[in-house]
Amino acid sequence: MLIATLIALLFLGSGANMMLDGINQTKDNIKVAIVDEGTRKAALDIVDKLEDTAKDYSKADSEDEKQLLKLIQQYETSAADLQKNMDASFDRRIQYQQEMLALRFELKHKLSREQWDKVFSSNVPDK
Amino acid sequence: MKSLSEYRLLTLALILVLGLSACAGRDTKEDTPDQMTVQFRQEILSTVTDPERADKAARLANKLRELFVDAEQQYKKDFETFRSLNANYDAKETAFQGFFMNMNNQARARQKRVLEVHVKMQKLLTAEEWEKLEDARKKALKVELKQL
Repeated sequence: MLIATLIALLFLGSGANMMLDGINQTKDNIKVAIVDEGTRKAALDIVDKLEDTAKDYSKADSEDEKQLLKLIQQYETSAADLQKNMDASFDRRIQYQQEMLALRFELKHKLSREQWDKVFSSNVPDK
Repeated sequence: MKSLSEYRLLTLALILVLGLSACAGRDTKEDTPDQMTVQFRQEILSTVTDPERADKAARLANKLRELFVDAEQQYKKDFETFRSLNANYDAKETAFQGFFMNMNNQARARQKRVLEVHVKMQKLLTAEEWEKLEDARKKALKVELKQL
């Protein structure tokens, strides 16, 4: 439990998959809301890129978790060793966030306000 | 898709506790964070024979639990903030950058606190005790990872 708690705490808050929330619904919404075939395809291509980027990151993130798990298991591991591992993971996280953000704005530029609202309004939970 | 990586980690933490308890033959489906702490405390108390050190270690375990609960609550808030931000056509890139910076800073601060607890725990426990606690965890991990 100690390790699991540590790992969970150290990785919580990465926002790693926030941008993939409701991705299937987003795809469905695009198919319905965007009539123009060219725009629809372009939008779906960007969503596919978002998904691929997230999957790649998720794999790398899992590797980071495994490495950290190994380090934490070892009694002799120093805090500096753990910090080094987490720093590398953190750099990757920031790069990922920027990549996803760029794709989000790429998608936005393909859609009108009305189309955007149709695609994402149903993804917002009721308050 | 609900934040798979984080959900998985949270689930892993919970499942490990369930797994450890299952080994003890208890029904733990309704375990709460408080029960988790009690179980971990028991795990420590049965491993660390010196009462003073055991108490200190148990306090550290409780600190981890508090961090865990806070982090989970913060994550839920962040998730909702992100959803609203993303749904807003007019949201500027600077708003996202600010959101991520805030979230990353919080994560960094949390990591720092967890590392501090980790280092204190490391100093408090002997290598043998550390290994004993990890043995219990590893057994659960081996079984439970297959179920994830």
